[in-house]
Amino acid sequence: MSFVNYQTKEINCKIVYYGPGLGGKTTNIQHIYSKTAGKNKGEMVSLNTENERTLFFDFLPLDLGEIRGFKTRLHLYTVPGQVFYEASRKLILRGVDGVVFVADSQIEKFDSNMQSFESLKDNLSEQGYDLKKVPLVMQWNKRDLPNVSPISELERSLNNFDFPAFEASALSGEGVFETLKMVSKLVLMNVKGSVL
Amino acid sequence: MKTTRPKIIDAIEANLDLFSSDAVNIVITRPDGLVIWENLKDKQRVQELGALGCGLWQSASTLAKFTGNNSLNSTLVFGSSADGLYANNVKIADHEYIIFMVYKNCMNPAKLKLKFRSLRQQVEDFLFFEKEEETNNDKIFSDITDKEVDDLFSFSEV
Ligand SMILES: Nc1nc2c(ncn2[C@@H]2O[C@H](COP(=O)(O)OP(=O)(O)O)[C@@H](O)[C@H]2O)c(=O)[nH]1
Ligand SMILES: [Mg+2]
Repeated sequence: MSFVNYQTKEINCKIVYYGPGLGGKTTNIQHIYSKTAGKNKGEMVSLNTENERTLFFDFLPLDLGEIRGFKTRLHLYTVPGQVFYEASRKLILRGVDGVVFVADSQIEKFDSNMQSFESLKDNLSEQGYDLKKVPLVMQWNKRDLPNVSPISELERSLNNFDFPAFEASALSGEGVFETLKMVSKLVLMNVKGSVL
Repeated sequence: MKTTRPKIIDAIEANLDLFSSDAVNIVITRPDGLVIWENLKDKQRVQELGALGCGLWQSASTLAKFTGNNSLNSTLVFGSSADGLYANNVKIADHEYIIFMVYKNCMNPAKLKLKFRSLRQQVEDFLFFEKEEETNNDKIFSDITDKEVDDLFSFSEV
């Protein structure tokens, strides 16, 4: 749940990048980090295995500009994608305000996308969220590769709820900020004036 | 709009004289990792410490469930005789907070930990007696425009 501090006029929101292993979640955050000036970002934290796979999470605090007099800070997290890290994913989803589902468009990743989306649904409902009401954006990533599923196929299988969706090539940065802007908009529209 | 702030902040500030040294950083987060209070000199690192400290606490308490005891009320300790981490939680009604300190070059960590436990206790007592103010459940930006969102991101080089 977002944190609005009326004293310091600050809003903090937590956004989680979710999706199958190797889909490009960490790459999204790295791109955002690389395109953000020093004063707007904190240190990027990556808790990795020795071969650069996400072990627990990546974390990037991002100071946006002001909106209606409130300074806005996003806390971007990625979850570890590999199937056996379910317990960590549950922890990272705690208190989430918005989700980006990073799907790997490659045809052979079809099942892992489905499996990951199911786990997202389960983990959110376990925490009492109604999936349909969660600010959620779908990202069809790796569109630069030759062996990708058509968008219509991804939409049909993964996007029954008609969440906003963007094509992306996170490696080159294409679609990364479009995705982030959309989820930020949905999250901000959902911010309640609660203190805690 | 109401101006109000979490009671826990008053609780901390009322008891802060327990910690005078610069070499002691105290951070309080919610279970989702958001920092609600800290006394760091280096403000650039606040969010980083919050995410790491909270993640540490979360994974330790999940791991602790393997003992079969789901209601372990524990302290997390990590460090040498002079430098280290010390973490605990405070649970009041529906709210949980993780409170941890990072200290360095400490002559007497045992004494520091004692102070920390006392701070934690006072925070807990304070919260127990002070009821949290009503929260305001109205959406405050429901009519946000794309232009406003673009302006928020004007810092990025895209
Ligand atoms: N061709 C291509 N490769 C990508 C893209 N996004 C990520 N990758 C690569 O996919 C691999 C896994 O990405 P990573 O961000 O670590 O995935 P994560 O497990 O979801 O965090 C890395 O080698 C990335 O360079 C993309 O859009 N196109
Ligand atoms: Mg990763």
